Amino acid sequence: MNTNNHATFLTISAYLTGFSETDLLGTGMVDPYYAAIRDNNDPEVLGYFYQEAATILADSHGDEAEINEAIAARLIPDSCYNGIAKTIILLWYTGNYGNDVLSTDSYKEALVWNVAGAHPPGAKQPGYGSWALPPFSV
Amino acid sequence: MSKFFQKNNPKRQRFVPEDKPDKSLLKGRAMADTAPPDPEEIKKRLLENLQQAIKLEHSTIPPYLCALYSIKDGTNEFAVNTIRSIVVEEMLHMVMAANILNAIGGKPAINTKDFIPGYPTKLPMIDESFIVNLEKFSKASVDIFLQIEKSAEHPEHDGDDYHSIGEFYMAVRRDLIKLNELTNGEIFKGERQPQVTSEQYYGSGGKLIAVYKLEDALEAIDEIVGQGEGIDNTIDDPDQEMFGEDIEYAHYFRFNEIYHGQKYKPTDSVHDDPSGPPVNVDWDAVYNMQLNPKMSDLPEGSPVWQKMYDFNKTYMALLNNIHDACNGQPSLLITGVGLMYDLKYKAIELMKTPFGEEGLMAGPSFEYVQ
Repeated sequence: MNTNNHATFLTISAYLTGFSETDLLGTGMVDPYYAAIRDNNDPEVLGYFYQEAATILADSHGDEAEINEAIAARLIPDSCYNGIAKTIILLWYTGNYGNDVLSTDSYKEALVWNVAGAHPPGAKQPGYGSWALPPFSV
Repeated sequence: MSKFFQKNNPKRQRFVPEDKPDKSLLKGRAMADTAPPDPEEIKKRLLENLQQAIKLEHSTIPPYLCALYSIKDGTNEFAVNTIRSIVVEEMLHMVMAANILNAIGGKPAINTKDFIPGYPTKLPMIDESFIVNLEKFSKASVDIFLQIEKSAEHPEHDGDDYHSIGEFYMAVRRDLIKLNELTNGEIFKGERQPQVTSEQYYGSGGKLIAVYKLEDALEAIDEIVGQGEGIDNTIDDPDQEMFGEDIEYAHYFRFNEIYHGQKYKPTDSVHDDPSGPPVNVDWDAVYNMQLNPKMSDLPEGSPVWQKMYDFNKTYMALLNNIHDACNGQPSLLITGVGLMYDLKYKAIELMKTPFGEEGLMAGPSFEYVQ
């Protein structure tokens, strides 16, 4: 595993999804998603993507607005790196790679459930009658 | 069914036969039995002890949950099913202890700061021969679970603490019988409203007993003790089959099967280790949870601290919910189930979150937060 790329993947995922790195680690999906991106993309294009992402993160010295602006301009457009950034966002939010569910875990851990205050049907059951109550938040 | 099975659940092992004289005490406490009985004093002691019983039942749940949630998804099916069913029964015990307390006019206190043990800890009311941690599933932690659920019968001993959960409940049992006798049954109020019943408790093993009179209270205690306790060393009937498909094992034996990676077979003796078919126990398919994690181990406000805080907020919300449910609003318990699930998912997220040292993972700390 390329540890630099792996670290970049986690950090850039946090910016792309709006969830903290800790939240993403808590899903247990960092490694499988990193592998899915690696296995489904041209290594050269992906290499440039990680290089660009690392440059954005390093150059902005943690200035969030600057990072977000650079990501929007240099990673998000369809013309950039075969749309890998969008693929990463969809992967985290839906657990799908393209139209396919990656795994049972990716289905359960998709961020969309959390954002919607819902649960993955058939998994992570919420308890009888929970549908009549507003989602619990701390 | 023989005397070795419970009246309320003939499939459940029972290790203190009913016809056995109750001799399990205890120099320090024998005083109460010989002095002229003062109903006020017994009632005071009962109110206190039943509150302690709720605390005691609760104190076993976080350690069991840590072991359960540290097991990686899709592995250790036998251990997962076993521990899960035991935790559910501990929750049942907690609610039944609250039912008994309510039945004699007490007020369960479930959401106070001193209700929550600070792990590592000894169990409330039980002596210090073993210490309970919040830790991952391992041979060492299952060994402690065996001690939690060990036998009820012990030789007489000094000191105020009891040697086992079963011994503690026997003292409560005696006080209930005595007080009921002294008050002609008046001590049991028979009120329906504060009782949590099986209507509010679903998706679980065991039987939730609502308590309106002495017999209900004794049945509830027998259910609590019968589900947990291990062997009574006085059992000496070699022909009695204590294991097999139709028998529900006490917690002690179920943990012992995990510990040895082997099931009991019908001809096994309760004094021996299980010698039946092997079960798959993978001690390594476990998140490497930090031992007894604390929020104070981390800088306040740091991301992992925040996650532990969120977990503890959910835990407090659940304790508040159970407190209210056991103080006159039993139907609230239904919404508590949602919180229990939420607590589980948050705990598992922590187990997947790196914590300090290389390779260690965070874990649920079960701490009191405002």
